[in-house]
Amino acid sequence: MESRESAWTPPAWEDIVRTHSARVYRLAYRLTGNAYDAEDLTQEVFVRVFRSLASYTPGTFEGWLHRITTNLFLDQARRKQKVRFDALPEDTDQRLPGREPTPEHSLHDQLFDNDVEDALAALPPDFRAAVVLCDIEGLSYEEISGVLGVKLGTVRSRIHRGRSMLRKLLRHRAPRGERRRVSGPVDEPLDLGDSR
Amino acid sequence: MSHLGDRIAALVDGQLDYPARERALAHLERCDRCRCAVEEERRAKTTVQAMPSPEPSAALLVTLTRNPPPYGMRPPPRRDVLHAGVRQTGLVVAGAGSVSAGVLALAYVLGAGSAEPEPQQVSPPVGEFTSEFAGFQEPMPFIDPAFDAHNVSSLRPGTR
Repeated sequence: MESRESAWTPPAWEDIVRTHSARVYRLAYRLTGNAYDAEDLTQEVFVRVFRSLASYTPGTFEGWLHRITTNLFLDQARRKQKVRFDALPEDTDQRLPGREPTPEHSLHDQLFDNDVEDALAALPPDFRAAVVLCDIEGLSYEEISGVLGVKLGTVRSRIHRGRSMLRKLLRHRAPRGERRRVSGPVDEPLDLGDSR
Repeated sequence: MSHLGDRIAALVDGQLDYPARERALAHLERCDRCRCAVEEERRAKTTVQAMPSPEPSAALLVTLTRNPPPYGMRPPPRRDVLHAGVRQTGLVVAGAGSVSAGVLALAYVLGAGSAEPEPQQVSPPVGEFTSEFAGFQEPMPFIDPAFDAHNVSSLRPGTR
């Protein structure tokens, strides 16, 4: 009796969906770069969540979600890349044709600044994952290293190179005034004053 | 000290430990190139951070809540497939029942039939296939060792 009362009961499925779906979808969207693939990926993640509910522990769940979402994405990206290289002619550098966009999706695409989204989506998947986990999910390098299963140095170099690629892709956006400031004093000089 | 290279990312992200961070900041004091690079890297980071957060659609939330459904906390693998199969079989049985309800009722009354639908017997024409090809001896004989090759024609239905 007592042990039954004190036994931990897993949360209701609806609660799990409500608590984590927005987070998973956001990560899925930033990784895949579009709403259709993000919805597919999110569903796939929740199927995994459902199958693993027995081992659900509240504290570690968020980290596990990052790992499963990112790795499912990277697996898919690698498969797609392989198909692309194996089966398509060289001039097919464009996206593979997908489903027709619904009005809802088109509206989303129009409302938001597509430059940055497109640039991010143009990064190679491994670099994109590192940048997204760092800048959008706010993970530390150590956490990212755990999610991606690579060394800290690799995380650092992927983030750095990913951002360099982004900068090149977004070069047209930088206003002249801002550019000039690059060679002048830095706005927030990284606590340079404090360190002296 | 050489240029910061990808330590710039770690500096911008606050991921350098104390001595490394001090060294990097000291380097920035003297190096315009790295200072510019730090500023550019920071701008790239804030650009990504400033992206609006996409929200899942209501339809997706409905799908997630319903599928997979909360059968229990430790579902056996591929339970969804199992359920789909059960539903389908039930549908077929119900359909057959409505069509032949009268017949079955009569069968019950007479005690001459079973209510269980007979499982459909599938018998692939294996012998036929083998005998058809048994005549072709080139380039490799394709004969079931169980058959006597010379009497194969006698096994073929309709040849006599």
